[in-house]
Order: sequence, then structure tokens, then C-alpha cells
Amino acid sequence: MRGEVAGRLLGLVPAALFFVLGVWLYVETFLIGDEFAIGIGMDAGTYPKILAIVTLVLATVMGLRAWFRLDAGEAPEDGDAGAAVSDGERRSGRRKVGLALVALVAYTLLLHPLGFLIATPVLLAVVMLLAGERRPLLIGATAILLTVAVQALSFYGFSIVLPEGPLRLLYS
Amino acid sequence: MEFFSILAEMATALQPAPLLALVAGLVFGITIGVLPGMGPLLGVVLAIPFTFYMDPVSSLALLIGIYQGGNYGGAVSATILGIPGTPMAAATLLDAYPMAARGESSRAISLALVASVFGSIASAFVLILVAPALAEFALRFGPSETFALALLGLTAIATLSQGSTIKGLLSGLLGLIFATIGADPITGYQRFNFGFVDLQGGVTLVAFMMGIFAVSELLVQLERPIGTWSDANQGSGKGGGVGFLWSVFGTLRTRMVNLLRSSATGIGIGIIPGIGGVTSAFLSYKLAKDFSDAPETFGKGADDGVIASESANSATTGGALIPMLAIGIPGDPVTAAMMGGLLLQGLTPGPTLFMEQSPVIHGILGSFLIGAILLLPVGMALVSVFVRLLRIPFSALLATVLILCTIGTFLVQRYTFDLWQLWFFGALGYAMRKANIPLSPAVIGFVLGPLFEVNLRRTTMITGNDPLGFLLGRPVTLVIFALIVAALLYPLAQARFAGKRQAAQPG
Repeated sequence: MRGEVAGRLLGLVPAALFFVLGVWLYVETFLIGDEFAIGIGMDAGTYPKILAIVTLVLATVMGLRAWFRLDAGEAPEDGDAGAAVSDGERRSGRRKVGLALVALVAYTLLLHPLGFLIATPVLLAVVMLLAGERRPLLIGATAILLTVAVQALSFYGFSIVLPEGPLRLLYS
Repeated sequence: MEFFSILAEMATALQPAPLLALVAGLVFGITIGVLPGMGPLLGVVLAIPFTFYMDPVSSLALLIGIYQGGNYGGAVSATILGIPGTPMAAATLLDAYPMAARGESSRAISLALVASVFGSIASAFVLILVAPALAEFALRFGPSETFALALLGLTAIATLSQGSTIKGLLSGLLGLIFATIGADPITGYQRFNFGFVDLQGGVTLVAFMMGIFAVSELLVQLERPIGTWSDANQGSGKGGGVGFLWSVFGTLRTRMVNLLRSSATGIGIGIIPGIGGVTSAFLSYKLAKDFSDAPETFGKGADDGVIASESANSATTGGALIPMLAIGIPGDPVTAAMMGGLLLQGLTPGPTLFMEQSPVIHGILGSFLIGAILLLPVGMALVSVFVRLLRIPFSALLATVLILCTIGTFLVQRYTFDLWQLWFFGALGYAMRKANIPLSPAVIGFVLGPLFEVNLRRTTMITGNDPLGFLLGRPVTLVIFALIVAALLYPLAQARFAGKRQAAQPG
């Protein structure tokens, strides 16, 4: 019973999201002006409008198929439906993905203030910890060596200065 | 064009820069193919930003090397760990792993290498012969044929690949929708940029591809229970003392029919968009078993099983490049990513590229042939190194992928906004994987989006008030539309056939 509800949601939630995308896109196309239209053929808004309509139709079909469980036999391609993991492992996995996304956002916000050489080893260390690595020497060495190697490649290989942060003295 | 001038242009691939890029690509490709969960697609996507700083032939040589090396690399981990490094190597595993279990790892890896080289060389010759001829024919195509071909490419990849057709089509639509962000390709009108100046040029191709494929893969790998792969690594003791065995050349001389049949199957399947290396490997494996004098040995370490699977999946590479180079329609996600690499260089694949950039095109074709040949010495010399790669800690690999994604995206335009796009598409790709929505159609839709829109709108301009009358005068367009209908009906027919077969089975 629980599996059936989960299976139905797996189809219904994306169908609903695609439907919302289709509605939003359709509405947005009315805001596209036609002052540059050349008078023949499609204007700038018609093509996305067609995409919106097709999205709405397909999302409806997907939703109906999920509701009546006609998609039950479909083989997953990129998903992990086949992976045998417990509920606890799944929850822990999702927590790690959430933490990784927070780390990526924090990294992007701090890249310029802290500079590449400080922000990147911290991000890499966090990701390695999330991947289950517990050897501090390996984490430290990998994070620092990778950062320095990439910094050297971009500076000497491509003549590109990455965000410097407080270590800008090193570059001069 | 004169034969000798073509040959001279192809020889540009032998100049130091393209040759170095090709060897680097082969080494990196095999490395990433060996590592389970990675594969040539990830390798090509990770390398694309770095090609931005190379000349066109060298950049494509690097990507071709990764494609060829990655396809073979999967066989190494399939043999040593019993985990296919790439999906294409799943059929190889059926016989290579049993061979390794009885202490013949070197034989399995050597057979896989030589069969891969044979398949790649065969597909290189077909690519060199067929792509220019197809491009010459495609020169007659107008906007309606080009639009129809783009639609066929997208429909085929969405319907012929595994999984739900509806989800595949929606994924392709998502790519087309993201491609509409930024300046309208005909009038220049700004669409859906949400007031961001950075989006006026559209979504960044590299951020889109890296996010959808690489960052989402990283998130999925992080989610898996700790130690899943490292346990397998450390548990295997079969990696020790692996080397190349010259005696496999003698074995292969007696398996010529299998090699030729499997390579032909791989090339043929590669040309058809959406099917790819996995199907070609399993189909060739089945054909080899059906034609074998000893079918009972398959699955227990048969030479023919390894040969069929590896020659077919490597031959698929040349086949898949034919539609991408000649008509600008990528046949699989790897060639879509390679097309992205060409677009980044300011080159649009298709028939006009053959006319206007003949030295570049012939350099690319030459690189493919030389790469296929170089795969043998590179694979032979470094076989034991590649086996040792399987001991690299999993966490260090994830850190490497992450830093390559970050720096690769940043290097192209040096905008922090591109990093935001990267994480956004990474999260989107992760959500799509969770919902079993295939990723490849989204990327192909995104890459083909501008071509699709421009040619559709040009067609509507030309047809005026009589689109039906216009289309009836375009037989090629009608044939392509018929193929699109066939591609859409194929999953329905397949499901019906499977249902009937199930009903016919007793019990």
C-alpha cells in the first residue's frame, strides 16, 4: 500500500511540476512584445507558447498515467529505484545531499570574499567528509593538493587569476 | 576534393598539439572509464571548458580521445571488480569477470583492448567515408528538412532510449525551454531573463551540461551508503599482476567473423539516434552466442562474449559521430556534449562545416582514426596503472569531480553567476534522476534548441499561408516526418508486442 502511494507520487509530483512550468510559460509568453516582429512567420512569443502547450499536454498525460498506475512497469533509466537501501540510509543520504547543496551555496557566496585558495579546500574537505572519508591526513592533503594544482593550472596554463581574497599578496 | 589534399588535411591530426591532446584524452578517458560511476560522458563534459582555450582540431582530438578511451576503460573494472565502469561494459562483464575469477584477468583485459581497437578502427573508416557523403547530400536541405531532422533527433533519443517515453519527451522539452532563455535568435528580443544581465546571452552551455550530468552524479554518489564502492575496491585481490598478453592477437585472428559482425552492428546502431552502446553491446553479444559453435560457454568466460561486446560498443562511437558531424544531429549524450564543445569553438556542426571548415573537419576525422590506433599502445603500456586506479579512495574522486566542475564552469566566462547556474542545474538533474526522468533528452534538447527554433520559424516564413502545399513539395521532409511518427509509435508497438508475448507464455 505504502509502495503504491510512493509509486504514484513518483509520477504525480513531476507531472504537477511540469504542468506548473507549462502554465507559467504560457502566461509569460503573453508578456513578450512583438515590436520586433517582422510580420511573417512566428514571432518571438509563439514558439515558447507552442512549447508550453506541448508541455501541458504531456504533463497531463503523465499525471493521468501516474494516477491510474499505467506507468508501474516502466524501467527507470537514471533513477535509483532499483537500489536496495533502507529507510534510514535513504534519510541519511538525503541529509548529505542537502548539506552538500548548502555547502555549494556557501562556497559561491564566500568565493570572492575568501578567495579560491581558502574557500575551495574547505568545500572539498566538506564533500569528502560527507562522502564518508574519516582520515584527516587524506582529506587535508587531497583538498589542498587539488586546490593548488587547479590554481596553478589556471594561472600558468590559462593566465587566469581566480578570486584572490585576502591572499592577493601571493599573486604579486 | 582531391584525395591527397584530404589526406594532407587529415594529417594535421599528427601535429604535436592535436596528437598530445589525443593521447591526453585517451589516458583521461580510460581513467574515467575504469572508475565505476564515471564514464566517457562525464569525462567529455568535464573536459569541455578546457577545450575553450585550444584550437578546434586539438579540442575535438581531446574529446574524441576521452570518448574512445572511456568506452574501453569500462571493461577493466568489469573484469577486475565485476562492476562495469560504464553501462556499455555490462555485456563485457558477463564473460570477462568469470575469466578473471579463474585467474585470466590479463587475458580478458587484453582481449577487450584489442577488440575495442578493432571496433574503433572499423568505425573510423566508416565515419571517414560516410560523413562527408552524408554532409554533401545534406547540403540540399532547407530549413524544413533541418527542423524536421532536429525534431527526429530529439524524438528518437526520447522514445528509443530506456524508460518512459512521456518522461523522455518532457525532458527534451525542458531542454528546448531552457534554450529559449536570452535573446530571440531571429529578432534579438530578450525572453525570460528575469532581469539578470548575465542571462541575456542565454543559459551557459557548460553550466547546463556540467550541472545536469556531473553535479547531479556527484549528489547521487554522495547519497549512497558510505563505502559502497570502496568496499568493493578493497575486497578484490584480482587486480594484482595484470598485464597485456600478446597471445590474444592469435585468438582474434580466428574470431574475425565475430569481430566484423559485432563492429558492423555497433556502427549501424551508433548511427541511429537514441539507441547507443549498451544496446549494441548486448545485441552483438546475443548474435555472437546465436552464431557460436559453443553457446553454452557464454557467461562462463567465453572469448567471443568479450570480443563481441567490446568491438560493438567501441564501434558505436564512430557511428554516433556521423549524424553529429554531417547533419548536426547528435545521436547520443556524449556526441551532444561534443557538439557543445564545437559550438563553444564557434563552429556549428553540419554540412556547411564540411564546406567552410574542411581542414578542421578532416583534422577531426584524422584524429578519430589516429585515436583508434593509439588506443592499442596506450592501453597496452598503461594497463597495470589503470588497474591500480581502482584503489583511489572514492571520496578523493568526488572531490576531483567537484573541483573540475567548479573551475571548468568558472573558467569559460569567469562569472560567479555561472556557478549559480551550475548548482541550479545540478539540483535539477538530481531531482530528474530521482523521478526517473532521463537526462540525455534535456541536454540534446538544449543543444539543438536554437537550431530547432530558427529552422521552424524560417519554415513558417517560407510556407506562408500554405504549409501543407509547401511540405508536399518537400519529399525529404515528409520522409523525416514519417520517421518521427515511427519513432513515436515504436514504444507503443514494443509494449503491445511484449504484452502479447507475455500472454502467450503458459502459466
